[in-house]
Amino acid sequence: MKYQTQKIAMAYFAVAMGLFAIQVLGGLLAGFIYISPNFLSDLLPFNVVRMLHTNALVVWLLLGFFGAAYYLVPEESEREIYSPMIAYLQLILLVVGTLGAVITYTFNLFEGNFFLGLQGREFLEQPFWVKIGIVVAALMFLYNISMTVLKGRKTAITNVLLLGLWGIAIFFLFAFYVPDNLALDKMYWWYVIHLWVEGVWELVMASILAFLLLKLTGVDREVVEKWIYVIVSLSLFSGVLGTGHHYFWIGTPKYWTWIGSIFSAMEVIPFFAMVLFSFTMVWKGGRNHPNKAAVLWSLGTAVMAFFGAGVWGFMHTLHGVNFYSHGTQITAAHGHLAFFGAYVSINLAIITYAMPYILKREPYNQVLNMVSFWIMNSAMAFMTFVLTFAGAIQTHLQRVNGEDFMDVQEQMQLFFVMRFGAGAVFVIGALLFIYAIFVPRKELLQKSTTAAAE
Amino acid sequence: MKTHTLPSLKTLIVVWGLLMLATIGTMFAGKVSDVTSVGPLWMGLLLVVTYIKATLILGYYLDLKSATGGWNKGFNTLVAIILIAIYGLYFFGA
Amino acid sequence: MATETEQDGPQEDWGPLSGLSGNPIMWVLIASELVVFGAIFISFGFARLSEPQVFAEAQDHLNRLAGAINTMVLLTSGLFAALAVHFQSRDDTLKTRLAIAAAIALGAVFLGVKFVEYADKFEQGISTETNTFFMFYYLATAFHAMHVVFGMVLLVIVGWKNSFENVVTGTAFWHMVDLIWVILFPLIYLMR
Repeated sequence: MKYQTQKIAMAYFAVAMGLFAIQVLGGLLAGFIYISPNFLSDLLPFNVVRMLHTNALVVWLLLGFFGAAYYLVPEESEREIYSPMIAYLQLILLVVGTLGAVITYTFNLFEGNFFLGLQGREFLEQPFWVKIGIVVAALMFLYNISMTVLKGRKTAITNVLLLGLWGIAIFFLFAFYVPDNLALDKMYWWYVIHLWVEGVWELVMASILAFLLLKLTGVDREVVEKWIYVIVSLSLFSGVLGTGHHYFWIGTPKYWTWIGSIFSAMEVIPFFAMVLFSFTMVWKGGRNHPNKAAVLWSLGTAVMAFFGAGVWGFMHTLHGVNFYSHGTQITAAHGHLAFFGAYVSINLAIITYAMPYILKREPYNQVLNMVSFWIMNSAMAFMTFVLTFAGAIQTHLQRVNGEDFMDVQEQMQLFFVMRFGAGAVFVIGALLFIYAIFVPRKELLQKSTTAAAE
Repeated sequence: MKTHTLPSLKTLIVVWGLLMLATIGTMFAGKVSDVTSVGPLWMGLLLVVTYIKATLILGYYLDLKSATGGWNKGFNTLVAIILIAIYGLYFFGA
Repeated sequence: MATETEQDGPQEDWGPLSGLSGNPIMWVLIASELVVFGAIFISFGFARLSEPQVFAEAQDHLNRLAGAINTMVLLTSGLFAALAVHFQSRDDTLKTRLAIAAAIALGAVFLGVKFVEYADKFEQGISTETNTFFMFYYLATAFHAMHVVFGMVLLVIVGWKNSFENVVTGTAFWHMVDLIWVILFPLIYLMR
């Protein structure tokens, strides 16, 4: 850690990891409700649990991105963060907003109140004051980071990162736009998360990945920069109109079926480029970086993002296929592997890389971290396969044979039990990761002993 | 950069002349002023002429003839694949 | 895209992309565009299989001659774009700019013809929802027309900031737009 203000990242990562724990525990609870549908149905209905699971995920990923930006921007710009105070205030604002939203959700307070109550648009239910808070926090963040970048050295990595971060803020503004027409309402609704994950988040991911590979492999900056320009062009080209694959069945004109199918089919290409990028860099790079866990996560995120977002996304993105598979467990399989592979893993990668420096922990005894990598990846891979099989069966029974929804759900019980098992293992992996990151190892281990698992 | 390998003025104008002729060819093969079906034979000719036009644009206007590596072949192949697929769908749908 | 050119020189190593003239990112775009339009064209071919009668009948509403004229307009515009590169390689800024202006003017003619065609369709009450043929007709041609507009803007920019690299990059996009129309015309206007 060369700059004092990089420490800001620590606070963001800590809150992010707290929410990560809540998110996976919420997921486990939701997985259990699939097996035992009446569990907690009065106290915490399934829709609330599911929404907590997804929204906690989105919030912690964003906090991770913010933390990553606070960590890597000083090093790239070669100067301290413009204002550490704004950075901490921003975090406090986000935490207050998140708590406010969670409490309002869980107890459904202030029902019907425009300013304080839930807004009733699925996943964008945050009370109006929380939405305002998010915008204010985003502006504080962008001001802080942009000022740092503008005053310091400009690199391709910070340029792409800034473009991505500004895009995140701009697309969030569509959360405020609620047309009366239900089809239009849905159309803009998709702008918020999906122009993120299929567009600007890919820029953030590419830029963090580029930073990690630059540091971990010692490959020339010029080479890394060219790769990210190509990757970024490909993701924006395919992703922006590719988001049209959400417009197949919501009442938008028919040409969206073709625009959405064709462009989203190409979304696999930037993810494949990221696989090529990370493996080429690690293969070519001469540096033998001691932080093996960070290298593992960097390669892991590229591969799992390619499979989760790329391959599993392509599987049901053509409208002829999606007509049958829409909203089945296939979607759940894709959603889980894509979010984990792309955005959870890139966050865990930068956290794995940054934390030893922030905590001044040498020489990166990260065996536990690597164990957690394999546990989480195996559990998620298993869950994805289980859900994919469940989805294939569901599609056939429900959409092709026309059986009743609840009858089909009953026939998928075995898969839901296996999914719950995979989820439980994943939670263990996640908790192990958090432990490995925050609890410093007292004794210095010899290099030879790091090879042996604990 | 590689200014010395650029197509000459004369080449560019000849290529343009060929493209114009080929377009008249497509108008003829595609029976522009007629409402009847083109038929598999004329359709095949139409697409061959289209392929020639595409290779002229790629090779001379986009200057792929002087590009290193397999770029010229690669782009020509991509166009060929698209045109063959179109013809196949026409032929078997007729 | 054009803003990323400043640090690129001939000595830069872009891997396989180094073999191409102009900005390598433009070639990423050109290849992507060809794949997308190729997919639209092949989708059109597939959709035609299920409703051959509808497609044949609908196509007779198109003005085939206008399509042919537009092909010639665009190809001639392409010649001027290629001439611009030729003149720029001799550092003849005036001729380069005249050639680019001619290319842009012909792009405007193309859009004019297109506008007349669209106006005629609207008058007949034909929209994207009329049938599958017209859905594809509007999708492909309007998408292409947007590229013409974007290409004209790009040509203005490279005519203004006329480094050799910029002129090659801007005209490369223009030729790609040209190439797509060359395939689009026989497919959508003539194939029956």
